[in-house]
Amino acid sequence: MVTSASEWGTVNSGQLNFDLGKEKEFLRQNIREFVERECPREYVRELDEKEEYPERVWKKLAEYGFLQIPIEERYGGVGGDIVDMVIVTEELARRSGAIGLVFFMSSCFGAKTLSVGGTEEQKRKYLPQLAEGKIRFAISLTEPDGGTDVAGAMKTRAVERGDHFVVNGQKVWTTAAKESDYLILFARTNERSQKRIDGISVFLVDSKSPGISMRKLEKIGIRATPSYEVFYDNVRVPKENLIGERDKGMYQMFPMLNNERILTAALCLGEAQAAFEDALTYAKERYAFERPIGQFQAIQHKLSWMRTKVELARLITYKAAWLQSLGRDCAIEANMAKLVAANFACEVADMGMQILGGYCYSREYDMQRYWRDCRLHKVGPVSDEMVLNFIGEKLGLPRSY
Amino acid sequence: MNIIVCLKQVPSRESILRVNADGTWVDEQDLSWEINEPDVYALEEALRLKERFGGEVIICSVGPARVQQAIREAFAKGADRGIHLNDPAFERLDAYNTARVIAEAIKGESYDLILTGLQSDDFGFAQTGVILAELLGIPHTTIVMEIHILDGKVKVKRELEAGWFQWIELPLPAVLTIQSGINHPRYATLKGIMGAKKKPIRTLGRDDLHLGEALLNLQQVEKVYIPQKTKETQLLEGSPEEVAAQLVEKLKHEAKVI
Repeated sequence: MVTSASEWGTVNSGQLNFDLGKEKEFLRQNIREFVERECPREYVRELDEKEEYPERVWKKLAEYGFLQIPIEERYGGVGGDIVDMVIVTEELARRSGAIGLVFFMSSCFGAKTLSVGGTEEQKRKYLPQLAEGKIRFAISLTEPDGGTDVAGAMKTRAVERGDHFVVNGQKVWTTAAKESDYLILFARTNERSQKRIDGISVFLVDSKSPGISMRKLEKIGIRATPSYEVFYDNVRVPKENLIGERDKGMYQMFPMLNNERILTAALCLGEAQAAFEDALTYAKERYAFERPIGQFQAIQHKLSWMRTKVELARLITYKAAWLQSLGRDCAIEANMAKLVAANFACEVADMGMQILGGYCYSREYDMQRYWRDCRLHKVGPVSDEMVLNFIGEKLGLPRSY
Repeated sequence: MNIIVCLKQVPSRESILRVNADGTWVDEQDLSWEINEPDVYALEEALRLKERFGGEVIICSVGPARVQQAIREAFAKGADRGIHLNDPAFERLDAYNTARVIAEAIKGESYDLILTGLQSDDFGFAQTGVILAELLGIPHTTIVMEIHILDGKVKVKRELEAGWFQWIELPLPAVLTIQSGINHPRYATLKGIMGAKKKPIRTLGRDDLHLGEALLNLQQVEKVYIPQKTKETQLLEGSPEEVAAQLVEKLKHEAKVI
């Protein structure tokens, strides 16, 4: 930190402040009440079991205005900041990672993609509907041959034909594709571009378009937001559905990346908090050798670590969100947040499994769900390794990939 | 239809309560606070009536500066403006004097209904609303479970004992004390939360009111204490016959009931 001489003596504890403020605390209290009432544990278990999209919760999120948070006021939203989104994502994920992801996708992929790349006409058309929960978006980016090297592996093509593009190709891990109204599709529009990252465009594709077929992927976690392989066979996309500049699609993704990292960290926080709370309750209620197992240091120390890890992950996540909300550079912090939160969530859930003993293996307890769910975040939407590469580059080291 | 909702801020349900130094109440330091639960239902009922019939919802709350948070929370859900009664002289008032302060503060207001929670989660007197109605000279009823607005009247369903209900009609304006569970209180939206800071709160102290006589409590809490364990549970062990014999013995000689 660079501090000029004149600032000496003026820096006091009042300027370092970890309070969220009354308004944001109240938002948290409200989303917590929402979760208690609208997302009961039995319902969430059933969704996981049946791999069923949380349609009922989506409608309620819309009804109570939570989907308006990431959207500007002039498009029917309330212009909330990334800290508000972190609070909502964290609290939803505290009950279900999949439900947290539903909000994440709407706010990060849907609202942000259109806000950044959309024309005024597209924003007016789609954002108010998104704010009211009338439409949903899924992001169709990753291909079977490459996730991290997504540009290098991209074979899906969009070829211009008169007033439309014709798309052919195959995507994988398009989450909630079938449950969404529009697919935000990344496809190659220029074969001759020198850099692999160039020549890719973003389209808004009606998910009911002729030529689209889907196959559900069997997942081990986050099962209530199903993921699909999506096949595009001569799919016609009107030209007006191009989002942003043609051939420059990948560049549109960059402003989204910090938000994506921060909200992924928020998902991890919620899941880790849930694992910690369930483990703590269990440790107080379960008896062995005539005392609660929480009395044994083997258990108590685990719980102390779990709480510590959640707190550390929360600190860096909220710091990154705070920087982002002020429009300050947070590339390093956002990547650190995702890295720390994903790893700590997995460690916390694993300790939770150990504390539950044999019951950790029972599907009647939620611990195994947290354990399965949080494992995703070490690889998706971006791998730990790629995040480390980004941080390395920010340290001034040569790009490693 | 203008509705005044009396809100009380009470220690939150998650708070760890400690008896204060002089043993007359809980230590208020480090407590977190929330809106009294039945008052949340009263607020929701007022907001629903406003949505149907128009008008405004005015929040009235007695207490120190922290009470502004409760008023703002009500604003975030849709209430329009607030009256905050804040004065050292208003601290620890009994129900009668609290009602006197409120009655005086709302004298200039035009209202059709005053809603309060049935009782507070801290003292639980269930008196403030009732005395307020008496002081204002308007009708009241308690433990309200359903409200229907008729022409110049209100028809309400009251909860009686043992699963019985009663329907009664009152002329407006009236005071109703609302039972928990009458509705599903809404969540505050971010839009509401962001708009809450712009809504006006009028703060009034003792000198702003024409209270006449001094605020001398008629009722005082003498002592607050954690319940002492005085009962002991005995577990009888053995075969059913042995246990039955032991039980009869104890009922005869210890409890002396047979």
